Amino acid sequence: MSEKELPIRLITPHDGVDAFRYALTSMIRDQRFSRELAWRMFLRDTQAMFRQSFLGYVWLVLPALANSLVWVFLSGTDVVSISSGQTPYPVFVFVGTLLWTAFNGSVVASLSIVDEARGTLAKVNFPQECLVLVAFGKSLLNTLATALCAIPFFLMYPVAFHWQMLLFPVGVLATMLAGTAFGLMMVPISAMFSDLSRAIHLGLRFGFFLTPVIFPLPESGLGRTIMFWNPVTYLVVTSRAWLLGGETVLLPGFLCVTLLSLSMVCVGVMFLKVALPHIIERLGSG
Amino acid sequence: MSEVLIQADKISKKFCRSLKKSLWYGMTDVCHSLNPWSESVGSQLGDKGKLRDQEFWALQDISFEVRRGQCLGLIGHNGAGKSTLLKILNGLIRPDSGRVTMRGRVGALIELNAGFNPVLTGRENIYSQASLLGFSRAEIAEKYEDIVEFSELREFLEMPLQNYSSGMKVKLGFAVASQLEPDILLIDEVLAVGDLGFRYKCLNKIGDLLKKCAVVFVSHSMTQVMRVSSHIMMLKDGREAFFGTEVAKGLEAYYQLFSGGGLTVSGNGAVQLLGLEVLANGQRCDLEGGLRIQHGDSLKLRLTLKVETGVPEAVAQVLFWNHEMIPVLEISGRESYGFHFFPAGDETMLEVEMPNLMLNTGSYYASVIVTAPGLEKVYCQADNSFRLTVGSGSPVSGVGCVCPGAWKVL
Repeated sequence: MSEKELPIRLITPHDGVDAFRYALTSMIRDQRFSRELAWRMFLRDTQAMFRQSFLGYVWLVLPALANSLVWVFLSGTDVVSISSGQTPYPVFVFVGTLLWTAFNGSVVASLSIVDEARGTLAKVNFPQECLVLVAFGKSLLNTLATALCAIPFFLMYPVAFHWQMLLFPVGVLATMLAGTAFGLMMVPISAMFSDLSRAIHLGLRFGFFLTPVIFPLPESGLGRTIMFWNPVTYLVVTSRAWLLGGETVLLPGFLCVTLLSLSMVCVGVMFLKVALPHIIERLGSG
Repeated sequence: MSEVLIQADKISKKFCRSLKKSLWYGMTDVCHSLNPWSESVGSQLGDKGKLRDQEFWALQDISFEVRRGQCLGLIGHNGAGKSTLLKILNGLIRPDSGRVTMRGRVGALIELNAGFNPVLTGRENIYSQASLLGFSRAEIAEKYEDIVEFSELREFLEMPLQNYSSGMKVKLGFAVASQLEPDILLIDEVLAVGDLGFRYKCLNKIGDLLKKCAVVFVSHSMTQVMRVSSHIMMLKDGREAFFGTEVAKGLEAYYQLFSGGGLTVSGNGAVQLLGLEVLANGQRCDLEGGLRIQHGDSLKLRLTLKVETGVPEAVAQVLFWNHEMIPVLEISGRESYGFHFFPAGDETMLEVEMPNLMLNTGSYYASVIVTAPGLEKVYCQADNSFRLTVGSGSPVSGVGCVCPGAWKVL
């Protein structure tokens, strides 16, 4: 019969090293397909997102705009008085929330990848790792939309240009990477027990106040100690300092967290790949 | 012999009845497999050979191989493990023991609209579905026209999918999937959809693929299984209850899984079926009984009827239903339907003989029906009054009756 070499796939129960080796080889083999598929899924989901609305993609920007207007209003009426150094407070908060939203969005997006694709996962065999790319792409789109609102903001409150500003996008990406890493590590468990994802959603609300988002890093006290234990602090403080100017004293921490996140994302994708057959088996098609 | 494309070796799979327990086991399994130092059991049964609380074997020790050009028909009752087996073959879930070797590109016609998005248009969905099924960008561009052509939905392509009827969605899904060029094809109950014309088109397309692929075909329609399968495996509670190339025998085993229920009597009660005797091939059975006969055997039937005095004349009919509850054979009298008789006295005995019963291989249920001559009243209808299992001896074509003809070359 046909003499062409057919790809061989072995389906066996496997654990530990075997499972990881299998995950790695299949991801390398499918990487081109998985990138194409991720792009197609990203297009599908974004196109579908606002199809049922008149304003369409404007909705990407509106929430961020509304959010920042609140802070402009609040600081204009002196309801909140937080010192933010030389930078005007609204700008300070805007940049802080931008970074926090990037982190928060990435955590939520990567936590929900199994839930959102449940039907497809249970019925079609495709390189599932592309879902991670899709989730990252979606939160990147959201972050970019928020960043778009920065333009009128910086016209209102001009900030002098300095070269470090160019590093800000790196900071944003690092923050998103950290969020993705965190979410991915939790997915194998949270896909089965919704307790975990509920707890994380709850924790993120506290996290907002345990991270110097709407206020600068405290000079001393318990708050400072807690924030130093919070890895997101390093990302937010350093990235904001790059954009608005200031000392980047937490740069070593920033680098550590980023490297750690990067390796956690790699490990997390492998974890997901190894865990998915078990997850699919337990969840069925829902 | 062509090459073996699917080789399943003693695969077993456990499932759990309770959701909470199932999730908990799932989590321990995940943790176990994520631990790089955990022992891989491979095809050996270690701890995995034991059932935990609330678990049962959804599949146990299933082995088979399918070569290119062969088609394995997978049959069995609901929950017998057919879909689980397909999921394992498709690589979605892993067996708890055993191994499967799959050679070549796998195409699955399982749930055809799994990746569809309702608010996007048909065109957009074609693109996303095609890439989900593994088409590269270049392949999609090349095959787009064929897909549209096959789907017969050209004028609806710009309409959102949520406005498609369910049949149209399946058409679109099948059109995309049909462009796959797999070596191994897994099919699960997708043919029973769409309108008649499209169904023929699908069957023809699958027929084309059958020659080039190794196929595993799951269906509850025995007609379709007979039509396409070269091998049959019947699963019963996760175990292999029949495996072989004799498709007819497999179907017989399948039919025997179902008793078809007991006798049900309806009608206005003016006539009652007191007794029934079936004689064939030297055997006999009574009301609610069953006989195994061979195709072409003769059958004698005796009915004892109790007829009320107000019934001067009646018509008796015997009807045979196949397993899909389609009537396949009627025993008629001289008139166009049934046997016209005039009851005398309290009890009337009727006898009818069929010299050459033309029923095909399978299981059949007989109804005895007594009506008024003009069919305006049903006096008695006794469904499931007896069962016939017709054994091999007739060609496997899936039809209800086979009738010998006098052929000659002119």
